[in-house]
Amino acid sequence: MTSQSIKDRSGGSYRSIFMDALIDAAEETPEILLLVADLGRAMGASRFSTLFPDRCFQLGIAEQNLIGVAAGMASCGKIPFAATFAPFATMRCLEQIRDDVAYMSLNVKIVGTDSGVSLGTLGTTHYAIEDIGLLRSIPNMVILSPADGAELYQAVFAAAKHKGPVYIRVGGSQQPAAVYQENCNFTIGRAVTLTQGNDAAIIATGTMVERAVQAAEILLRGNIRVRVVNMHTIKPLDDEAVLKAATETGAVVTIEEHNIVGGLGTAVADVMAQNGVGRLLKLGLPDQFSHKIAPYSDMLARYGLNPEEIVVNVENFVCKRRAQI
Amino acid sequence: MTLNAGKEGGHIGPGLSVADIVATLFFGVMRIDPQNPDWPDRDRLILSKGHAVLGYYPALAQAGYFPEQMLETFEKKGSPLAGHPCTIGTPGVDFSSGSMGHGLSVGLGMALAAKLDARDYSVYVVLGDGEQNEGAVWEAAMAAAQYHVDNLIAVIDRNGLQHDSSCAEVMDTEPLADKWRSFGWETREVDGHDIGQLLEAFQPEYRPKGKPYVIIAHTTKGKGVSFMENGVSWHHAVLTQKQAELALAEISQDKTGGE
Repeated sequence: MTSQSIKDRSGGSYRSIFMDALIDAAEETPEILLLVADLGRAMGASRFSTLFPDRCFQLGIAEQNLIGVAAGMASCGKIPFAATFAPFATMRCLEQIRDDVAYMSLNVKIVGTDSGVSLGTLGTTHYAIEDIGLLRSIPNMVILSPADGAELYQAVFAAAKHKGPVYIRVGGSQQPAAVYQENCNFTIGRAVTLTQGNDAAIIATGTMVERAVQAAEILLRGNIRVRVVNMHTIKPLDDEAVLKAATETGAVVTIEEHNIVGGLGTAVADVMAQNGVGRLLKLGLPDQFSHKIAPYSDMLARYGLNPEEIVVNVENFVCKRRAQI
Repeated sequence: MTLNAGKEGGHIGPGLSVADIVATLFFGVMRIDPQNPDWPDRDRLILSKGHAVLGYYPALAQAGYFPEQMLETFEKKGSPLAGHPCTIGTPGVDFSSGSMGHGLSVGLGMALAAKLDARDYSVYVVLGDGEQNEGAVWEAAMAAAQYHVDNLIAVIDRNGLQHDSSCAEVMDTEPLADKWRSFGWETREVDGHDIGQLLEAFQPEYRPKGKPYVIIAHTTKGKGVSFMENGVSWHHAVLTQKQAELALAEISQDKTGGE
């Protein structure tokens, strides 16, 4: 991808950048198909179907069938991308994902847009705060959670090239805040260190990466040097990057737009605990349902996921660590 | 095989009800090459009622996908021949199954892939009648009609019984044929133990153009063994040596007597 094409996409939403990427990937790879479940219009599926009328399949509001059909196609050599909102793409059809896709490691790509709490005012049924935890416990699954538009674009290509099931966790109608100004190198399973520092490490994923970078900038002014690690692949986790961060800083903070149970924080905790290194602070969505709606940005603020509150949490954590030493 | 499964037992009732359907497909209908199980142009069979492997593994062995001695390993430690079939480790199994209601969607995906690649294979999906309780079956039924796939053929093993009791008592799916018809499927009912009727139903002249096709095959659970026929308790059971001998004697007598 050229930096020109990043510029062209500025202003695009997560959904539309996904569709841009899929169209470009489909130009290269004739096996790529798009399957939607009556939320195709939201992500601009008609742009795909106009270009590739035979390669786009509308399956209606029937996610179990969506994944089953994708599995059948994949068993015949196709590379179906089954795309719908994240809660429906992962929960209604979880058994199809496990039995029909992951069991035989079939080449199905599941794309969950509008993940996390990005559909803020629509309420809990439309949030996906458990998707990483659910899919992480299924063998053979690869879980990608790109940080911004440029990385999302790369992630779609990487998913298409990878042989086997992939879940791509994508934001919604919002314009992603840019983490990368130019091209990014995206390799499945290899985390990207964005800032250097040994006072603490923030390991973030998806929408939280840009906020982590902002927090690190503020912390630097207070002379706290934070290493920010973009963990764009939740599974397989880059254990080495986690261990390096834990050993070199001793203080790891994970941030994710996901339940703090079962997601990135849990995955990182597994690695740290099994190796007996470092202290961990998990930031994310609390393990509770929200019964009061709010617009997306307010939802994130409510749960302390804006840069200012991340700063306070990291500062306290670092101070406590220092007191212990 | 059920005897081999020892104290674990096997799904013997459904295995016997589906056996004639599966045998007809493998030996009278499907275009297959057992020496080349991944042949892209082969017809595909999905045993959506995956628990009926006792009517499926022997047909695969007889067709030549794997040696018949392998059947002896059924449900034995280390064997790929599990109580529900898996593509990995068992040649000839076109798709893994076990949990109810998955197979028709997968079959539809295969049928659509055939159209995309301009291949002329057919996809056969064998469903149970208890399986008709699953909502996902009807999601797939709706979509198959929407896409006018005429290379997808569903066969329902209508033995009238499911795990807990009769289908009518557990969750009545009648009028079943009307339901499928109303979902846009060409529907045909046959005696699922009459090979002639089964063969005829699969003939090209009966296969509709531009719409999916379902054959409701009326069968008897535990077919061929008098003490098993229509018995709910034989859905999954352990056989004694004596019962096994009796059953085999009845089945072989039926074979010679019937022809």
